[in-house]
Amino acid sequence: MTGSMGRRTVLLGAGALAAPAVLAQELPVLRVTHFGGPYNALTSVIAEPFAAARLGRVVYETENSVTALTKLQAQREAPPFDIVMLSRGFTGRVGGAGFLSPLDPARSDLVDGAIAPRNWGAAMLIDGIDIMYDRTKVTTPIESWLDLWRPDLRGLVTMPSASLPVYFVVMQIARALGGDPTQPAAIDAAFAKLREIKPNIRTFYSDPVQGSQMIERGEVAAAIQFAGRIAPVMRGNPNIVRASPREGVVGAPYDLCLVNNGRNREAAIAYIDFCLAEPQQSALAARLLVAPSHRRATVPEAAQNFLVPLDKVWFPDEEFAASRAAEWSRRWQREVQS
Amino acid sequence: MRLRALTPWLWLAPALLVLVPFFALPLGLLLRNSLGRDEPSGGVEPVFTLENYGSVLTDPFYATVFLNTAGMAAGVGLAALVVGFPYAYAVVRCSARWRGVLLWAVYTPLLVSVIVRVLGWIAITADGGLINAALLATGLSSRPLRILYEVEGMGVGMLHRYLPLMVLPLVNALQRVPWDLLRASSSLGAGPGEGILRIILPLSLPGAVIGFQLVFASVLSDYVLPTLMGTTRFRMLAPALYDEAVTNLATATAAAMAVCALLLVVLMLGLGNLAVRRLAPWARTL
Amino acid sequence: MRSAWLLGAFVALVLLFLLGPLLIAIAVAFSSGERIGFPPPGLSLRWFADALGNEQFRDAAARSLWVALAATVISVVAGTGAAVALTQGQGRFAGRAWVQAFIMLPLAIPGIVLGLALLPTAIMLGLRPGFWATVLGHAVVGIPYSAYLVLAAFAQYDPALDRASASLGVGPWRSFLRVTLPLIRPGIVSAAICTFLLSFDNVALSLFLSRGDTLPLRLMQHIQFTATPAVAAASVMLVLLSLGAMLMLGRVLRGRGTIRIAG
Repeated sequence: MTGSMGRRTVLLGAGALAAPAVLAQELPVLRVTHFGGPYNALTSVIAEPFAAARLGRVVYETENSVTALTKLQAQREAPPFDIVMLSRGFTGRVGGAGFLSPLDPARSDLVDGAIAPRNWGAAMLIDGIDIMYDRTKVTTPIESWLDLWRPDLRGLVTMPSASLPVYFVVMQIARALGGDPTQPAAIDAAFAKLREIKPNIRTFYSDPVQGSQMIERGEVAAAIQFAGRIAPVMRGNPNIVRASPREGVVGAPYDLCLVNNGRNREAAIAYIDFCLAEPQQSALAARLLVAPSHRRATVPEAAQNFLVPLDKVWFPDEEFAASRAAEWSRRWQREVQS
Repeated sequence: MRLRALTPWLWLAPALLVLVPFFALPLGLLLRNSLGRDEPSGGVEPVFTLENYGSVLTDPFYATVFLNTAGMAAGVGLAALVVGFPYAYAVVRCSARWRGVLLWAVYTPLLVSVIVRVLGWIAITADGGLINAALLATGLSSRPLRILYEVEGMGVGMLHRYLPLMVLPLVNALQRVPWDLLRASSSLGAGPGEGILRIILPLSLPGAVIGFQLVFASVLSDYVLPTLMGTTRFRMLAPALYDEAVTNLATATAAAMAVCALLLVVLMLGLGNLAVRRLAPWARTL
Repeated sequence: MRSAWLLGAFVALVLLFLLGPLLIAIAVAFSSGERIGFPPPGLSLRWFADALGNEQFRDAAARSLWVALAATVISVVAGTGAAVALTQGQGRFAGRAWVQAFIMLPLAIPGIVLGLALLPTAIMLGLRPGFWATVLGHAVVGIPYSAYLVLAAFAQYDPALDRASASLGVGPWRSFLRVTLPLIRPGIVSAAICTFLLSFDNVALSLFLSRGDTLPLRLMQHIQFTATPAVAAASVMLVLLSLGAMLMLGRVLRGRGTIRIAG
């Protein structure tokens, strides 16, 4: 009796020990990219619950939109990733070049503009281009984009250089001047206006962190910057505030995109659905201080002030912008930042 | 006899095994791309056209970029020579104990990642940094001096980064100067100036030229320092190349720019070697 | 005498120039504050603990170390071979000048240009971004420096030694091992140090050929978002490690005779 019990216990015990190993082997592996830095939090906020729910095992790699595209281009038939995180400006280009599979568009629980044109991707987070300024140095609050041209801000402003996506700024200024950003006349007006801002610019930054560091060091009093980066600066320095001007804040969604010819397609789709579900969206927003794309995501009261107000966000025509981006970038190099 | 003729190639085999597939091939690809046409998604249309070279060579913006970069490269090279020569002289002429210290001072910055070195320079040259703090405290200036994010700041950073490339060949060259002979010649009545002109300068020329070539090529290719410490008002080559290749996905245009840059450096290297061969025919060239 | 004093003052200034930013970086590493700034608000070891505890930094340091070691071995072997080929037998063979120019050419290419061109080439050759692609990319830029430094060591070399060795009946390979190699050893050592440092610090090539996991790339990613003194702390620890390694290397080699760093 004891012997057979013993044997059964051992067999059961062995089975119990083997089961997780066997099951773990069955979990599909997903290769997902993110931008690095604070997005390393995805490991704890997304990957661990995803594995706990037995949906798959996620391996993250740090790639910005550019290096992700370069690597997709180099390995078209056997892509190195299954899901890529791209800024919206790249999503259209990468999808149009045939590297992505379109997503199922039926997602009613996401805010307007969260789904990329032609369903190439769905926004995991909605960043934006906003203005931050030091209120101890800027006596009259900044309420309009055109306030950046004020004489009291001479030499105290910084904004992106052409190494970064400047089409956001061009379109926003066109809009602030009352024009339609998809019309050449409005764009020309925007460039004419931007040529006049040079005396106010301390320098054009090539890396977003330079913008934050300059305002923290006190070298500039106002900066055009990604909302997701304004939040940590505000948190560390209560004198620095968000302007969120009345003409609006350009939305810069970060899309999750399904790679064509990627592996474990079903698990990849499940990953995207998982990231866009309400609990994960709330957790992401609270952790990364970037606006969620889910309508009902809840963000703790204390964090709400740091997020860009979604009612001010507008989404530019990304396809139009993508077709003009190189031309505007060259104009920016020659007319604005030189 | 035939084996003897093969031997250099046998010795070269490891180097060629690496360089042919991983250097000659990419160069070929670069050349091929520069003759194609840009596609909006970053690819290159396989046509055969010289329009990229046309646009690079006739665009005043690119002309400015090349001139800026070549000027900065030459300037930093000369500054490195002026600063490095006395330092190399000191290294060769001082006692063994100090020589170690001086050489380690040249090597140690190379151990620190360039990114961290730049952080150090930012702390020194920023509006609120060390230099300005000292200037304001002593009353030498009433407003902060703009060094960082200006050409001057970038130049200082470049000099710091590439000075070792000038010092080491100079030390190499100066070690060959027969110092005892110099002392002997002076005791025989030759003035100190003559010793410098006829012995030290010619012997150190090859080292100076190699140092200048290395610094020039390095400044020309530098991406990190112009991006982190420079200004877009003085556009440099590597960031401009990056903008075209990566931000604008204009692969063919960027390839044409890269080939032009390569030709510029090759020209400079060739001129330097020619000068050395004329003026110091015994010496080694790059 | 006065000129010696002037020279000494000048050298002191240059020393300050060379070491200044490093001293600042060290001070920042010991900062107790949250941000990279000088002077630090207080002193603390917290960022050293932070850097050591950062798994990405640790893994990246190990990875960079292996990449640099592999790249150094390849560069030094290839560079020494090239140097021997270019000097042996008075260094005359058909196409010598072209070969020398080709070997030095990687110095002329901006790193990002090479990286951008090398990525599709490596894929074409069946090498995806990762360890070996990075190693071979680093070796490409290491070979010219290696060759140059060993060539410089050969400048002191007397070819009569080869002839003497041959006339004593020593075969060419043994002659190389027993006679040539020990004499050019300082050049090989400086080539090894130089290419190791170049590889360890490389950003431009690693950006395209690796998977974002070398140490300079991780430091850069960290700075791009958070910019805490952890970066400075990581660098200080690396400098101490490298200095220690090199002092040990120097002591081991000094036991076998004098060593001149610049060959």
